[in-house]
This record gives sequence, structure tokens and C-alpha cells, in this order.
Amino acid sequence: MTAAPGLSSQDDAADLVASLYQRQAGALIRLAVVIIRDPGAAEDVVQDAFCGLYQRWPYLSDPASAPFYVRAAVLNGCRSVLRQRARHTGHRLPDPSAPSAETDALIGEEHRDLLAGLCQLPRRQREALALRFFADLSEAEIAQTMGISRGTVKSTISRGVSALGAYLGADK
Amino acid sequence: MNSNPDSGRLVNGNPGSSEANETEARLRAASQALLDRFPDRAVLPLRLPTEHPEPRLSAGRRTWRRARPWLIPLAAAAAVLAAVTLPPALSRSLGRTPAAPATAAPQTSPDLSGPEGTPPYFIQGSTYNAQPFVAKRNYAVVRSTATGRTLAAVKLPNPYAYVSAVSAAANDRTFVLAVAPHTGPDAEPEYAGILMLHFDPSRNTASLTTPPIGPLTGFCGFALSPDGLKLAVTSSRVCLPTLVNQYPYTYYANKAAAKITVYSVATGSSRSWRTTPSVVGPLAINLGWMANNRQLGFTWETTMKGEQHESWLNTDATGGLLPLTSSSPLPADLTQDIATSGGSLVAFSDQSIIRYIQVGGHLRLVRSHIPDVDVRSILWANSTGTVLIVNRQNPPSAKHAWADLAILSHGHYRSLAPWDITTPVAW
Repeated sequence: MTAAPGLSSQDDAADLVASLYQRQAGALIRLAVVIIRDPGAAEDVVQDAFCGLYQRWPYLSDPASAPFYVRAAVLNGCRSVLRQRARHTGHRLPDPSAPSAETDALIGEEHRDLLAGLCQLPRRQREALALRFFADLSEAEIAQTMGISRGTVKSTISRGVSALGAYLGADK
Repeated sequence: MNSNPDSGRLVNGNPGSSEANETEARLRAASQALLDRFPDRAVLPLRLPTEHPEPRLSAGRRTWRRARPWLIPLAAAAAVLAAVTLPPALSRSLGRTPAAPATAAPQTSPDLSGPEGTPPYFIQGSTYNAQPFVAKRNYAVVRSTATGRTLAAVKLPNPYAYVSAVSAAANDRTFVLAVAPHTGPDAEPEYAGILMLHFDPSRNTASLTTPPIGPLTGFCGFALSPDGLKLAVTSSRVCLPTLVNQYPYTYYANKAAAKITVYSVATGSSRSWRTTPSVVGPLAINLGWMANNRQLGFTWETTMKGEQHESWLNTDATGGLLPLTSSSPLPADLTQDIATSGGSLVAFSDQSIIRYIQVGGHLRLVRSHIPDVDVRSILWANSTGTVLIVNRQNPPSAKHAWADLAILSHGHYRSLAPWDITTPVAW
């Protein structure tokens, strides 16, 4: 790791993190809403991710990698929320498709089936589709965020779209 | 990042049937609806903690990277010595590989083993450039398990720009890399190249050779056999959309096929096992060799069921269809990386270590709970499965690290090194 160029003071870090937040927080919150279906918790996950980024900023190997770290932190935070939810409800696995009136209001009644189908997918497919279609990331960016190869991203998205199409078709 | 439905990336992102396009259109419409109802301006302001980030090198806990000023003159002298002596040696050792200059760390006596009997060295994709789509060639580095120190670094030869996957043999010297060329942010690399990395611990040097394998298309992942002689590669192929008739519904969906190919590293000869193209067949396949260098354990997941399965392949058998039988399906939150422990497969799922053990020709699943941390995957296991190397997210013992590599032994974690989560590692 080399020192991040241009990060001479703590104020610089705060400014840079705030600037990144301004550009990316909205998309990341929408991404988290799709995965955990709880807007309040989604905002908390994203806030925590950026606070973590701020505290660890001096240790970033490359400032250009900050968006990847914060995206990975958001995904990780979403997984933690789902795990905690499962623990509190006594189920071994969470039921991410549980209806959320607040989320339905956000995404619209007409898209409720799609969101429910998305939440029925295996975790990796759900995350890949959310990153692709709700965060508008390229396959290379998704591969970095999820820590999987581009080939796996491509097949995961393709199979996820197929599975979702099958779900929506069967749901008609 | 934006969710604009007119974005070229989304529109051109995934070719497919009209039905697949319809599904994608619905996804884009939902994304746009979410954007309309929750625009960027609705985001609450960031509340940063009052505690400032600690400056680099002021934290005593980062002992494995602590600066040692007295080492600077020694390192400089060693670097000069290396610059004079290494090029001829490297040119001899690179074999058929294009010129790939290796850098050497100061000479030290080789480590015999890592902490708790772990392998002494591991390989990592470059940490010098976190963005694979930046036009800049990356490195493969060999690091010490005990200290995290970089022992040798090799720059990738042209045309390769980044390392997408790594695997290791059991001799602590032989590693394999999947490498890809620079493509730009929106393009897909058409192939993955395969390179072998040989590490000389007595001189802390590394060299690259090109085995007679590849370049590979549809590459998903690989595993090098413990003896370093065979390379198992998993690949997938998305087929043309097909009309699926599932009474009372009919719809278009993409079929896909998965394949495992085992190559001889020395000769490039290969043998393949594949699945028939199917809509609900295996999606991702993760590989791990057994200690006998013959059996290949693999896990695979299905699409809608959300289940992950495990199977075994005898690679001495002739090629054909993959044996997709599973006795103990798990929810598909199993980690992507799996490790082998003697004759069993080890993975992580839902706060538990999962071991698949062969008992009398059948597979038995053994689940053991581990302390509540964000373990993402298991990267290595000893022959009895009692010592593991795992990667953790937001490790509690290293608050400045995003992720770390840690040894998990008898329920206790020992942090090895902070880890750049965007780069692959292997022992």
C-alpha cells in the first residue's frame, strides 16, 4: 500500500468522502432497498459504509478504489441485516420477500411482483441483478464488488434474468 | 452510477430473447420508478463520526507493516544487488514466457511453514492497482503468511493487464494464475490466459511460464491439483434463448451449460465433463481437489430453488456428463470459495463451517458453528479441518482493515494481514 496522494489532512478525507457520498449515496440506498426491502435500514447501511470509509481512508491503497470498497461494504451490510433479521425472527434463513409497505410505496405497486421475484432468487443472483439494474454497474464493476470472476457475473446475471422471467411468467 | 433507463450500458448489457429483454425492461422500469420516488436529492446528509481517521502508521496494531527505518539502507543495497544479478537469471528461468521482469525482496532464509502449520507463502493478485479496467499492467505477488510481507512480485506479460483468479499446489512453490487483457469498463475479455508462477524461497524470486493451456473462453474458475500436475477449470456457456413449455405457462429463457475440464499442466491434454444445456441446471461451479490428486469435489447451485449441492468427480474416469447428484443440498448462501481438507470439502454457510465427508461411498454433511463474524469464505484448510484460513469482513480485531485474512483454529481467530478485497488470494 502506498500513501494516498493528496490526502494530507483529515479535512481532505472528510471532503472526499462527502463528495463520494453526494455522488453515490442515492444509488447505493436504492440498491440496499432492493436487497433488504427496508428503506430505513438501507439508509443506515449506507451511512455505516461511508463512516467506515472515512475512518479507514488513510489505509486505502488507492483512492480510486474507494467506490469498490464502499459498494462491497454496502453489500456486506445488507447481508448482515438479513442475517440479523433471520436470527430475530427465529428462522434459520431470512425471508427477504416478506412484504414491506414502505418499500412497495417506494418502488410502486406495479413492481411489487418483480421485487418479490427478485427476493426469491439465490443471494448471488439477487445481488448481481441489483447491482446491474439498480446500481447500473458494468459486469467488470460487479465482479470487483462481489469478488467473483467476470464470467461468473455474466452467467449469474443471465441465469438470474431467466429465473426471474420464469417466476414472473408463473406468477401471471 | 445512475439508474437511467436510457443508459447504454443497460440497454446493451445482456443480449437475449424477447422474453429476457422483457424481464430486463421490467427491471429497468422498476429501477426508474425507484429513482423517481427516491431521487438523489432525497438522501439524508452524511453524518460523519466525530472521531477523525487515524493517520497512517500511528496505530500500533499494524505491526506487520510497521516501518523499520534501519532496513532502508539494507533494502537499498539488496535492490542494487538484485538489479545487477537478477536479469540474467530471470532470462534463463522464464522459459517460453514473454519477458516478465521479477522483483526480489531482500534475501532471507525460507520459511518452513506459516503459523499453526499453515503454508508459508501465498499468492495474491496485484495490490498496486485496484481497478482491473484501467489500462495498466498488474502484478502477481508472493507473500509470507506469517508477516504479510511481499517476498516477490512479477509483472504480468503483455497483453495481460490483471489477475482474475489464483490457485496453489501443495508444495508452497507452484501457483497458477488466470489473467485477462485490458478491455475497458464495459467490454468483456474474450478469453482468460493461464500462467504458472514458480517461487524460489531461497532467493525470494518468482518467474512466470506459460503452460500449453488456453487461452480459455467462458472461464469461471479453476483449481490446481495438490501435486501441481493437473488443472481443473470450470466454464459456462450461455446458450441461445429457448422456448420453455411448462404447462400452463410458456416463456423464453436462456439455457446454460457448465463444464469441468481437467488439463495436464505439462502437456495440455484435457478431459471434459459437462452438463446438458438447461434452464434450471447448475449455475456456478466451485472446485476443490482432494489430497489424492484424483478426486475433484465441486459445489454447484441451481437457479430458482436457491440450493447449493455438492458432488464428486473421479478424474481418472473417461469424460462425459458431470455426475450431478447431491445428498445434502444447502441454501445457496454457501461461500464461493471452497477448500479441501484431506478427503473432505470445506465451505462456509450461515455462520457455520460445512464439511462434506465421504462415508462408505455416501456423503455426510457436518456442520459446526463458528464465532459470529462476517466470514466470507474459507481459503485453506489443514488435513483434519481443525485449522482454517478465512477471510473476514470488518474484522473486529483490526478496526482499520476492511477485510482481513485470519487463521481460525479451535474457535479462535488470529488476524494475518489486512486484505484488499478486490484481489484474489490462494494458498
